[in-house]
Amino acid sequence: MDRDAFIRACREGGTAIERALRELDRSFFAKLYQIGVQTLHDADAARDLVQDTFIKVWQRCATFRGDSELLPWIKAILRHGAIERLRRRNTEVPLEDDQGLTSEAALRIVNLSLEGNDTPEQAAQQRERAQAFHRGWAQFQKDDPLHASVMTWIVEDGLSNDDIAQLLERSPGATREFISQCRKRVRRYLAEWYALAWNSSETR
Amino acid sequence: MSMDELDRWFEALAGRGVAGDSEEGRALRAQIRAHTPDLPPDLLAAVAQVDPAREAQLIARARTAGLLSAEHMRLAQGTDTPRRSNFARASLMAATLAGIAIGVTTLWHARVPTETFRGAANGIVELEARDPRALKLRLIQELQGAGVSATGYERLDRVGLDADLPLPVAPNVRRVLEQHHIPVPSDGALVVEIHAPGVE
Repeated sequence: MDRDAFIRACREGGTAIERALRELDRSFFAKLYQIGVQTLHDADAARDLVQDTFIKVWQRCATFRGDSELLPWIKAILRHGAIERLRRRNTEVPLEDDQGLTSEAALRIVNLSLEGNDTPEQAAQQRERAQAFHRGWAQFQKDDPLHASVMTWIVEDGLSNDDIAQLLERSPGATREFISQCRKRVRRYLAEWYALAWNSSETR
Repeated sequence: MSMDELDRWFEALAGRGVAGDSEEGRALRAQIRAHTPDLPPDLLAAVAQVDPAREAQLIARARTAGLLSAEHMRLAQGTDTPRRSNFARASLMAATLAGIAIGVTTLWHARVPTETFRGAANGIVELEARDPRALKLRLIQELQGAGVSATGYERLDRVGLDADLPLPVAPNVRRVLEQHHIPVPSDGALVVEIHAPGVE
């Protein structure tokens, strides 16, 4: 769905919104669902989150700036909804990861992706580091999904300080503190990976 | 403006190159990317397809949320088609429904917002309500209750209100707006116009 069609439907309302809702679902459901699953670690909750996002998109369509892209705006609404859900619920321990894979299966995929032309010793070191990262990151996601999710979104979409402030509804100063907390926490959870991959003096 | 270590770490994590790049941030970025792979192709293909059941569920939720007008619902359900057969049965049904309607009307009015979101253009949110003036007053009162001073107006048969919402918009103000299907304005400038059904 393009932004002009979206803006037209927003102006017209009524039946145009129904048509546009179907169009939104066809255009963006898969992408948004993926973010929802990665964040909430629950396929049903992710589906519910995406549909809830589409409703909010229409409730807030007047605030869409016509000169910006539609998908990033919708993703911001989805992420805001995901944060609300994460804040509401106590973290549950997922038995499977966000792709419906067991932890061991996901790690095998990461290991396979690391295999290259390195010597056996280098490959073994890489695998060890990857395993250390995987363990620490999985624990971080489980214990602290809010900070882990925001870090993932920073990586995926290059969120700026302002983007994060808006997402979290915090002042720039409080957002900076949040980012600082992200770094502190990830260092704690990934201590094993840091020890393998870094000289500790370089990371402090 | 100089950047401190945290800024450099953050910029590297976000994939933005800056002077004195943080190697730690870049390494973390590479690892996080490697550990957030896409959905498996079969699952991705399944959700990427047109799914009539999913769309129907979405439309039902939109109706519940008041996004689709009552007129639209009536047309969509085909209930505006005259039924000439079984007139007596239809009359009996109508009488029964009328009885039920009288019984539940008060409850309905108490619980369900009577307004419908019609659309928005140029920063003006348009709502539809049976009694625009009553809704305007209710909105002003509810916004005042949330700490926002809103001004009502009536000009050229248009009933509306406007307010400058302090930014960031407070959660209680946000709740008032969302209850009435009003989008939260990103710039804090709220303008709402309310029409009676059938009035453009």
